[in-house]
Amino acid sequence: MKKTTLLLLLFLLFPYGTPLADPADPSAAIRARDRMVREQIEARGISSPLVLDAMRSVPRHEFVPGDLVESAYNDHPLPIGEGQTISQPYIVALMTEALRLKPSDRVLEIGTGSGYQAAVLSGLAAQVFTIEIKHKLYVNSTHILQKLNYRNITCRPGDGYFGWPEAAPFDAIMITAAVDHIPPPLVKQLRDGGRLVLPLGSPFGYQNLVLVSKQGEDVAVKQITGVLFVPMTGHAMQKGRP
Amino acid sequence: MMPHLAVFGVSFSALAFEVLLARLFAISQWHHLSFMVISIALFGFAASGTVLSLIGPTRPSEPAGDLRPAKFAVPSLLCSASIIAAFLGLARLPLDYYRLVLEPVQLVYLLAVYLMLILPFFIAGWIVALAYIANPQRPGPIYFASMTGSALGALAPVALVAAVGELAIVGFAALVPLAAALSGVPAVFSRKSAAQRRSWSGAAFILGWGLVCGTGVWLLTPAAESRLPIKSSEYKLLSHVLQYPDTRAVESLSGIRGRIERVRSPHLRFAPGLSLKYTDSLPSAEALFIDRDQPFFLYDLQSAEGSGFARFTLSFSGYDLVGVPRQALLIMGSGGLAVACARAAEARNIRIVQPDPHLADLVGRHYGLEVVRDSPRALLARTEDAFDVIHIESWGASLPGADALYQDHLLTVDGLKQCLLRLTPQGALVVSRKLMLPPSAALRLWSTVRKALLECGQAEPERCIAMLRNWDTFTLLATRGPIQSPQRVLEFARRLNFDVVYLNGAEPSDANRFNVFDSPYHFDEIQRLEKAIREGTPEEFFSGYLLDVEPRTDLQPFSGSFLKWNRIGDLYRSLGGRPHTLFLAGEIVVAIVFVQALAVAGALLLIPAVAVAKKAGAAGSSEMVYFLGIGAGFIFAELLFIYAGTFFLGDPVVSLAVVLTVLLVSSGAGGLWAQRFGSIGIRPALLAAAAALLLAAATLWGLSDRLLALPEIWRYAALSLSVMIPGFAMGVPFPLGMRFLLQGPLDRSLAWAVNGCASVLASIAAAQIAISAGLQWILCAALLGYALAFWGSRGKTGKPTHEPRSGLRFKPSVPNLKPKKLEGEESE
Repeated sequence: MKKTTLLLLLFLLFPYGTPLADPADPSAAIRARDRMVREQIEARGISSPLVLDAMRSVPRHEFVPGDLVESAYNDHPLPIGEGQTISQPYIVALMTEALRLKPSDRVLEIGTGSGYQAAVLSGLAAQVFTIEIKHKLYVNSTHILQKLNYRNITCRPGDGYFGWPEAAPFDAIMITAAVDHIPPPLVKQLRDGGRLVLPLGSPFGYQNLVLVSKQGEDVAVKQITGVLFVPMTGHAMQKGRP
Repeated sequence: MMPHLAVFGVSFSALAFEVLLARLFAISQWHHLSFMVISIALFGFAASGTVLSLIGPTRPSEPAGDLRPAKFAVPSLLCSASIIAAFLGLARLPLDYYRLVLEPVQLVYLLAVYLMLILPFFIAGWIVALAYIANPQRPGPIYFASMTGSALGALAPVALVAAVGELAIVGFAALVPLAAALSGVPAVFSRKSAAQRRSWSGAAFILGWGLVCGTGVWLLTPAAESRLPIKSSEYKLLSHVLQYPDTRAVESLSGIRGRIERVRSPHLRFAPGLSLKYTDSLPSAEALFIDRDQPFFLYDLQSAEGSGFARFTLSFSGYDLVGVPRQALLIMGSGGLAVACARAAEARNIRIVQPDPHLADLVGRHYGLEVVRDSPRALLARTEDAFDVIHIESWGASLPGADALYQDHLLTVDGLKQCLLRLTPQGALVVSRKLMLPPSAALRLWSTVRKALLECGQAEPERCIAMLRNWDTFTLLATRGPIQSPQRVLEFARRLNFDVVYLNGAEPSDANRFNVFDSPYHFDEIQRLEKAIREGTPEEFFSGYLLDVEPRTDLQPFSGSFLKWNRIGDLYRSLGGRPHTLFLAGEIVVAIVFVQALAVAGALLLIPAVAVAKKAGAAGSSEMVYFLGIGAGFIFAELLFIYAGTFFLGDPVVSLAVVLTVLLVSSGAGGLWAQRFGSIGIRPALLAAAAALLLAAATLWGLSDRLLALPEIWRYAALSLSVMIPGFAMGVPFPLGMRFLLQGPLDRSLAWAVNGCASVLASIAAAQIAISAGLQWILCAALLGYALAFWGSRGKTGKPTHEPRSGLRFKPSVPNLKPKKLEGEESE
């Protein structure tokens, strides 16, 4: 009780968003998700109805440790153990929107983590293949995804560097693990016209995303910053003017 | 003898524990947390003065002036116990700096760590303050004992950690005060009455001593190391990697520069700046993790994949420009890609410079290459060789913002100038770093190397610089003369799908073609800066830019610091309005710690000020200003020398050990001298200290080029000599003040508290001053401290004061020297 009171008091110092008042109450979770989508995602320019629906439908609080459930819908990443984080909701939505998924798409995710991103992707694609190299995370996320009945997600433990050759090619690939270069095998497993997305920076400070798109032999790389980086350089660099 | 032994012992332990804590935090967390926690923990010294001023050194039932051995023996034992308890508590507490910003409960853990770590320093401070109180007319020997104990405590971890490991140092730190505590044991057995001999306190003391001693000895053993491994944040890179299958740490080497762990795993790959045109495999690699974070990769370049991949990296652009280098010098703080690049370029002679002896040995043995174990700047200063390629590779810490406090003398105007002067006429300097938004490191590096080229006599520096990027890294190339074939650089970029950030004659279309930003930010900003330089208004650009990207010099060598305080609101908006990203910045951490420290200092000084204001015998404010001034002045001077030592010796921890050892021993000697020749007066002593400091600083910086070129042993000697003389002079004012300015125990307690608070505040302020303004301002702050003390000593003759009526005598425990019993006093 004392810990809860202390946490609540401390939470007043961190008004980041929409604490989940009672995790056991499904309607509270739904309200929190609606508010999250409205205030953190839609308000920042994510407009795809499918993505917004997916973000509304996935119970993010199920993917975080018990002691962080109250913070599940806040506007920042959360540590989920094993050195992993669950990304800020806006980042998840931004990365998902960047993939421009179609209902027939097959998606590969490198770095299952909590399983939350895979759950969001599953609402937009036909099939999601997800790989996690850390065994504990693989076990946890698989358990949660099965518990929540996500049938179009296939998980496997292993080194995602080499992708999933048996299931290739993929219409989209998402790399959520930290990388210093884009693994060549993954580019090979990307279908012609496919898109690959990965975030840059530390999990607590992701600023922009890299989008790799493949057209024939050409591979183009684009930075997506969204509202994560407001360019205040050059002629935009007057005080207070974004 | 007793108080001197106790003072020596706890001073040794406090410093050894402090240095060790810095190492432990560097391994388990990041430097930010080390700075934060240790700064606050050191308030323990000041807090002891505060408490002493409130409660006095003796209980009401005890005769005034009666300080039995137990007054020192028991706290010595408690000091030992608290060190062990603090270490064990720290090992158990799940504090994680990475989660501090996002998990409120981490603040509770942080508070618990503060309290645990303050205790040993509180007890140590208590003993030292008590010793001064017990010896009002002879503070010099006490000061000497304190300083020499501290000096040896600073040296012990440096000398021993490689041989015995970090845990054993905790054991040493805990055991040393027990020697002083042991001398309290005879007092237990010398009690005359049976009732006293049966008392529980004696038995408890002996039992406690035995327990603490036993635990301390256990900590020296390998068994302790296996039972109490140092746990790291799960967000440190090594923590991640060790969770991969078939991955293990095969070797662990402790050293004062860092702990190195060698890891074997089939899942380790490192190729920053790799082009998407590369479709083959990478060679396997082992990794050396420095303090469990910054990795250094050792590639298997004998394998089929070999070093071919390196030809497809951004860093290779310099080698491509030069052709086949005859001589290549590789300077790698972390990473290791440079070796693969040099091998891929078939460089005939590859030399690596690496200050860490363990790392130097491992890299040298793995590749069979010459590795010079020295600071890169020192090597560049003394070598006569010229190189076709000088490759600087440094990817920084995994925690963003952690580099802000890192003192880097290589990427300064002076450092890059040295690199350029060591190039052959066709040679190239290659610098590989991470690409950031808003543009920061790239912009600063361009302006710094441009300035370095100007100082080398190059009239058209812009023609000597090229910069390429991909999506998250950039590489700068610089040549001594104009780049002979800029087209070659352009072709390299186009062939491998890299973009141009800067190249004389490049089109804007080359800037954002393959790795497309919303706008070619880096290209645009450098163009703006170049235009401002042509128009003679570079200051306007720098002052108007969102971040501080001005070139760095050896006097302001923090190339990872970009924050501008007056633009923090804009920076916050620029980063998407997410507060948790700002709190990772080193500058902000220092500011937060300073505010915390101000609050703590305020409490520690205001409480006794209010409580004892009206007590008779309390010293005036000018005396306290004196101790504030000398406390701040001493610490600013100490840190100035540590920063200077880092420049000359190439490592901050080695510098800390050398400077502290020499400074503290010499200032202790100054304190002893003051005891004998204190009639010189306080004001002359202050002037001498300030003058010696100024002269030493001027000599060090004035002769820095020549000193840097000396062999390592002579650099140690030169630094030590430079520190010794001002150290001696700075050791005089404190004991003189204790002896001639203060009236009694209350004064001395308050002075101790003030001096302790000033020391902590100065140490934190020094970090901010160094980052924001430069090292020369730390010298000014030190001189200001002594000026303040000068003002605080006004009207004081420096002659001995009237012996107070309640003068304290230290009462030894030897029975036949026991003084006459006072009325009501029980027999021992």
